[in-house]
Amino acid sequence: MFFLITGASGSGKSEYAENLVCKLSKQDQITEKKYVATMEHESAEAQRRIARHRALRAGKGFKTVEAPLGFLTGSPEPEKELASCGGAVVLLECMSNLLANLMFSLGMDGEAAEEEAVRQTMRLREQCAHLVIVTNEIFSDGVLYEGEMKEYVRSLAGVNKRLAHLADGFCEIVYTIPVFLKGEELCPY
Amino acid sequence: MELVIGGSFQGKLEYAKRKLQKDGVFADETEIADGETVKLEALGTVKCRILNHLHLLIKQCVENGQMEKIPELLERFLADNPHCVIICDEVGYGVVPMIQSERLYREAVGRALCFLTVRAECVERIVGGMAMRIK
Repeated sequence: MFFLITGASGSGKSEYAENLVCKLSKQDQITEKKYVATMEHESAEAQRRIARHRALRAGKGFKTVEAPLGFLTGSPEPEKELASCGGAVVLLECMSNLLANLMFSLGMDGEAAEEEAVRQTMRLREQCAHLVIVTNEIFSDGVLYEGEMKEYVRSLAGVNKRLAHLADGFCEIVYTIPVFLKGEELCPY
Repeated sequence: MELVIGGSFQGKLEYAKRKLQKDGVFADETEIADGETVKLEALGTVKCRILNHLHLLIKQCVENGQMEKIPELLERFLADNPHCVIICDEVGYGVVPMIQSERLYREAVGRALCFLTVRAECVERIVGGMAMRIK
């Protein structure tokens, strides 16, 4: 199963996604749970966010894989990491950071980063038993962005649309409440 | 408690008033508290049918460095106003702001709404004046 979870800032989408992974692993008796963390952790604020997410995950049995660039296609280390997800229930959090890192750390343009993000997701989907991806709703602030910011927003929208199309289930978390756009009947949680 | 959320200027207050009037439990504007004017420290003593602009109250909390107190303040408010309607803008649907206080504000509004959706009997999202019940 592949679920895409979106939502606003502070909506509780991470917690929902974690619980969904736990439900999926319990339902199919898969003990291996992987958390693919894409947030860069340099700033103090990022550290606080990461600490908060770690506390949320504590005791749920996740193995963390630090992958700011995801499983970059064709690179040896990421390929090994990707293989290690074989048969596991995987939570990737979050697509908006992964895409930002591909564009702003690696220097890919929006189109290339979008292709890479979708390609990676599909390869990960083939490897693991179930995949849950957290993304971000950043498209309604009424700001007219220019240059690379505009490209980034458009690329993330592109990734979201394509992944939503490919996913078995797609929902927005509205302050802890799941509002399904597709596949609610497949969701065990 | 009922929660009414949505973008700005979508008719949330009008909707809430209409709904309460229909139930015969809303008399006039004096029963509305406004997050723009209510002082944070007074929240525990406010009595109202409708609490409008919750996001502006949260903004006060963030600006005064009282973010941690939000759940406690809301809890006290709910204890005194168990049958009220709380109205709040959804503000977290944009690119992560460059300014830290704005990031904190957006997140704090989100967390406050998570706290309230769990406790609400009914959650409605207003778009173009129309309500979609999501809980």
